[in-house]
Amino acid sequence: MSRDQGLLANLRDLPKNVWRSLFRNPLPSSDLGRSQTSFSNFFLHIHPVKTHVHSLRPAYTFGLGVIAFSLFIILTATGILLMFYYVPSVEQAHDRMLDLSGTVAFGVLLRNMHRWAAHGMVAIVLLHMARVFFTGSYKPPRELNWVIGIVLLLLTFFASFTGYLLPWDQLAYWAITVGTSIAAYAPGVGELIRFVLLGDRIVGQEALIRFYVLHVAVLPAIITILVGVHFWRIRKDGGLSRPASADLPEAQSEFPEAVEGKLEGLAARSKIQKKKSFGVLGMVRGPFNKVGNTPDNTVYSWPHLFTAELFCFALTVLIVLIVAMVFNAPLEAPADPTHPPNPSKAPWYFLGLQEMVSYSAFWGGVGIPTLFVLGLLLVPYLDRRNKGVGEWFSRHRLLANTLFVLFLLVNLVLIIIGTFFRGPNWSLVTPW
Amino acid sequence: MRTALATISIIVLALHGFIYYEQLSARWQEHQSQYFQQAAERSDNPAVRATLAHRKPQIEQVIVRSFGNPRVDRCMTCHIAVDDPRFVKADQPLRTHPPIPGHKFETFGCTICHDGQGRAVDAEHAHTGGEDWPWPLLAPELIEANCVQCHTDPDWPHAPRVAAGRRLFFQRACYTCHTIAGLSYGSIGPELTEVGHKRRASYIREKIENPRATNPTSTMPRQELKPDEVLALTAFLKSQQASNVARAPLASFVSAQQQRPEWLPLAHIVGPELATSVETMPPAARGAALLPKVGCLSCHRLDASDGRVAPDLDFTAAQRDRDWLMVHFNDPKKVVPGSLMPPYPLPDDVFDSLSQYLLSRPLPALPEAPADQYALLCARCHGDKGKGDGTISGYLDPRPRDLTKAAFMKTKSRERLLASLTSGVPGTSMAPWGRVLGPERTAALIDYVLGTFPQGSTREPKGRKVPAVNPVVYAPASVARGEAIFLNRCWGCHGKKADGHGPNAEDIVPRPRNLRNTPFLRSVSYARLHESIKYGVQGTAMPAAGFDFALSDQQIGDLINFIYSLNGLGTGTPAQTAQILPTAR
Repeated sequence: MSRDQGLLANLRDLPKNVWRSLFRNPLPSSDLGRSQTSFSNFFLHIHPVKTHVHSLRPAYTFGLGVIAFSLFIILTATGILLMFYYVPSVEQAHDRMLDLSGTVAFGVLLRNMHRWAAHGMVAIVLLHMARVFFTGSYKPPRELNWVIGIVLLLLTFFASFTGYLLPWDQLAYWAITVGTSIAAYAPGVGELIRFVLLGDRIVGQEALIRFYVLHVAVLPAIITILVGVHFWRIRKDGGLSRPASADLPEAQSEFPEAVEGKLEGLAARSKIQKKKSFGVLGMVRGPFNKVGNTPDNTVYSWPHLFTAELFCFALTVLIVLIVAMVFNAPLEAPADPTHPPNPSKAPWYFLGLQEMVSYSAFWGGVGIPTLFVLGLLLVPYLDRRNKGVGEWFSRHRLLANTLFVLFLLVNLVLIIIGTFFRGPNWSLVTPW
Repeated sequence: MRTALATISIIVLALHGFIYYEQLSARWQEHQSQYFQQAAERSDNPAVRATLAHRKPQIEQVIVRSFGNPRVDRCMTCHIAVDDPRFVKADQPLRTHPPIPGHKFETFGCTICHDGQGRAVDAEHAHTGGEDWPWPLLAPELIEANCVQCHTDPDWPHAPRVAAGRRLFFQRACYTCHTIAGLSYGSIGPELTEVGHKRRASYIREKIENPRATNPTSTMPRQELKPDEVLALTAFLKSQQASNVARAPLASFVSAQQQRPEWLPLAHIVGPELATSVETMPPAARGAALLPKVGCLSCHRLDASDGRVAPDLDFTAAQRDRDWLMVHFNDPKKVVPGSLMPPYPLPDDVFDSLSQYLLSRPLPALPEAPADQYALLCARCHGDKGKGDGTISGYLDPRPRDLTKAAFMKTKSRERLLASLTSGVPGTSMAPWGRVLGPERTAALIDYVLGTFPQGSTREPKGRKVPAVNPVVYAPASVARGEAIFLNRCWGCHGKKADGHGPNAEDIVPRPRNLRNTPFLRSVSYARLHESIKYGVQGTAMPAAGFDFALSDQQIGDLINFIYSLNGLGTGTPAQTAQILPTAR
């Protein structure tokens, strides 16, 4: 059927047609409409049509994954805006930072937001990893997603580290000197790694442009792809982990509000579904998968999941804004290779490493961190028991949880010592 | 959830609105608009008025290329009236700059003289530059520190504070501890060649006024300086920015490596007029003219002036001879290893003049009563109440004895204490006061001290058995055994280097002895060392190793051989070792 009514009529209908071509489906008001939101929108199509209510509980995940992703979005947006003024040249970088801080409109706010969101993202992904571990959500079938998550953690560290150098002030220059020197302790390939990172024997123009390219192009691209896979794997693994009790029907389950629009007879005859098929065809056709009729404790993603995600995003934006308005990101004197500050400290997430390095260069800088990373990567392949998944600090997982708590505490204590209790020549000082 | 989302969204939107408002209506635009308005009011020319009415605020900047790395100064964005003579009486930021002939803003910019952060266009970032910016705006009285970066002639008349500071730098003995390339050589304090570039003026001033404010273990003497002297020194040090080091003569770099640079001429230190005028004077008069100018009085006491850091020089004529003074001038640590006094970079003839002057001075009149003699001669180190906390006691190493410790004072023989007072204690700052007082008054003073200060009861030492000479012959094997005992028992207080700075030393009063104090160890008998180790020293923390650690006499002999080996005294007993020092005891 031709939609062409003649030129004048087309012009008259222009606004309506433009609107309709952008927004093909009206806001949903029926279950069918709600189901369609996940098919008809590019940005929403990675979400499931229905979400389990257990996954939506704030005290289960604390929204940490969504917060981490929100921070990534904020970092990308503020980072792109900062790129309009920043030049990665050793002569110009620091001056450009001064321009951003003192002259460019919104410069100081963008810069602060970028810096605090970066620190926040490192902290939040660590907390997210802790949440996933303590709820046993790395167990089969979720091993690959855990591994992808660890790789994302390391990429986050690396992205934060490469960005740390860009202001080219004393803090940046010497933190990167310390960090790359720790990398050089790796046996055999250590010096080669350092040379590849810095592009030179010293931290200079080569290192700056290399870190810039990594920070603005390479790492965001890889992180985006892996985050996409990370989300896709959530779907393939059957959604977020949940305890077995979460799948019980209404009378035995804790989620009476889950079941909507139940028909009596049908409910009485339906079987309890433990395993959901998320096949596309099964969702909207067929009598036994009529949405809302089976007591499977799920709710429509529209609006519940999207509201929850939007809430986390808005909260993250709010906190980043407030912190950025109150606290200024530091900018010290221009980098001066002839005047190392005493002490020179790595960024806070590497200070635990630096503290360990002060006891033993190889074990502290290379050996023990490698063991930590290997341990984390292998966790889902070593612990495959299916007990205690989906609940916090399950008693079935006492040993694993205790070990992980110890692991976190040791690292936290090392970072605290490195931050507050180390002074000139790395001697012990009291911060008060 | 939805209400929470709505609330947060509204707050975020409100914050954004606030931020947009704040960022897009900058203060500098207001200042410029104000200027356009006021300038139009002060003008009669309608064409000028029309132009000003149409002028829109924009950022004004100067790119300065003539002085090293290009700088961008945007100060005139707010200070837009700097070159408008009609605004001389206006309030800042619209006030006219005082005229400095020959310094055009387009060539010089602003920050080259004023410091501050030139690229910023809001007041806080431009003036202080944030917490970490090392070059905030200079106070007006310190701007001359930047003038002298180009106007390097020391006699240039428009930097009076820098010139006064340079004179004080020598007069107050700073030049003996601190190196400034091309100006002085000292290896005790940090190098100050580029301190003006590295540090803020507030930091420099604080360090001069109170050296231990930020570094509690600093040994820099706290000198009594008037406020304008502090300002002058601050200005001088702020001007040391190493920007003209390349113009210093090559010879100064070469000889800066030597301990006693001969290139530091006297005229450099005391000024050309004095240097020439003293050439024709006799030695004692020469010393009298030079002594106040080379820095002695910043620490020592002489007549009315008192630095409150070092001993009293009024009695030198009686206490010392020329040989002792010359050795001491050349290297104070040879005589008192713990001395704070740096080796002065002066030629020997100056030392000779100073010695002659000090030795030629008549002694001050001594009071009759021992109590008054104590107050005049002893209290400066030993304190008014004899607790070893006199005015200069903090600067002396070893510290003056606490005379109130009866456990020490009453268990030592009167002869020993009298000998210390009469002949002094080598290796310490205790001078031979017997030569000032004479034997009768010395004896009276000892009795006064013993009768007044020591408080508390004591335990008389019972019969002690101490060998008069070392039972063990000095040999490498003995030294090795002694070292093992030392590292087993002694280093906790006396330190791994046996210099008295062990980890326990901070908490002990009196401090553990520096066992590398060669002049001291040479002056005491073997028996005394053996007794101190075997029976301990009452009134101090030295334990009786012969009993607490069950050291035999042989082992103590090994230990003492080890201590002698640290001091080059191994070839014989002290009485047999040749004296290097003159016997001014």
